[in-house]
Amino acid sequence: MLLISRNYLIITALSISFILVGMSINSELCLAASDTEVAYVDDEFAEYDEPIAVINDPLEGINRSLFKFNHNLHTWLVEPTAKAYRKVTPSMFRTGIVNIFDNILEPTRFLNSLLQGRFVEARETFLRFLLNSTVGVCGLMDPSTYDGRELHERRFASTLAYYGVGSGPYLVIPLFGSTNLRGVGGLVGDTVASPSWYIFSDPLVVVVVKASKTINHTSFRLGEYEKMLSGALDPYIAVRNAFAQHQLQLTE
Amino acid sequence: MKYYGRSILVGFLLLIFCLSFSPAYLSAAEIGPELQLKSSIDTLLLVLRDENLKGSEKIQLRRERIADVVFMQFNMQRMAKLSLGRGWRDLDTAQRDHFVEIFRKLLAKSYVATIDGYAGEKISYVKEIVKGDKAEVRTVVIGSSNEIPLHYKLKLKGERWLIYDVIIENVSLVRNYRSQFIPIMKKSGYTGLVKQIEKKIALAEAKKNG
Repeated sequence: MLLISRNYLIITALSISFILVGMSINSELCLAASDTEVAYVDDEFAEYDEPIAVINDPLEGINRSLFKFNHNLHTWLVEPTAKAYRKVTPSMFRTGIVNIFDNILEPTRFLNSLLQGRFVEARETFLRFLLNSTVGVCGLMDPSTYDGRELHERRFASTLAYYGVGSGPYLVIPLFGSTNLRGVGGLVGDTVASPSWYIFSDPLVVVVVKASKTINHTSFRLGEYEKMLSGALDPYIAVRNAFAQHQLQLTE
Repeated sequence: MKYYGRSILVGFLLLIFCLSFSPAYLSAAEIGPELQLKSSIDTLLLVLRDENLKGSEKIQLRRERIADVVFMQFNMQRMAKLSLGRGWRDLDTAQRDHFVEIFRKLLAKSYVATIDGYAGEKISYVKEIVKGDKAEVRTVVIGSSNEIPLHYKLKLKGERWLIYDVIIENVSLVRNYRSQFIPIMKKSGYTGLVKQIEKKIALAEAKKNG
């Protein structure tokens, strides 16, 4: 049963990569067309012009309703749960959980740093994993950061971006949030390359683990989401734009 | 008595702070954007740590004080203008003034609330980049388990470096507002945008009072 689901996943990953290749060609065409539209380039407003490629949102209607769903889920379930959880657990425990989740993804980051030819980062990530898994008691603590060896967030999505794969349409996924087609491809890659995929083979366990991670993470950032959107005229656009701005940093 | 002494001290420090920016003593251009930003953040921290302003019943007063200190460092007109985009060119002076005013109020609702949530995190100054009359100061707010990069864009106005954009975790406030304003203006014009902003402010006001 499990074997089937994995094979299925690999097939999905392959088909997504085909779509991605198709899309990257497509988005190049898009960009070429948009160049003619930007008549004014050198005025003071140009600094804040939005690149056409990041506002590709053909599914806005569906995305908006999914955004609403996620928004309500966060406001009425995730945030209150995280608040209660924070009350009953010491901060040290919660930091430990963050560290464990960070540590378990280090092999994935290592792989992607290598794929992007960032060898110095790959070496650092490798050393981080080694130190944090041993001295840091299976990743519970993070002595590497104290040592000045910082975490390098390199995931499969950034590898795709590195090789010039276009972002594809913006997507809102229930429970997960903002992404784009490239992000979905990246997520599949990350999942297959992540050790937790092989440790927790049951999909239900994967969902529970992901939920715990979200609650634990939110417990450090209570109220931030609400505050972030308190000045927004259109929360959907505000979140989409924040995501787009993050995407521009992906290959930096 | 202790209660009284503290506010005198804060007032005194504020006075020194203001004096230090008067051209007669030192020009800000000489001080540089990072140093100027640092001293204004230090003043802000005084307000945030002021025992007299703590507690949820003083929220309104506290936030007004925060807005006073913070917005003194902002070039609100430039910020509003860049957020609005090229539509700014079509506005007359009165419209522009009005837009800056409502933009300031909108910003106060979100940005000041964010600052008010400050819980004693350490602020570290990472980098200062100056290019002519523009500068970027990069800081990191270090919390117990996370670090939030907070960058400021400043432009020299007269002798002072004024903030015209805040980039929180790689997300520029101006860019974010622009992305919201433009579709609204496309759909319902400048008047529609102003109406929406005023509605948002009124809503926040009602929420606070009710």
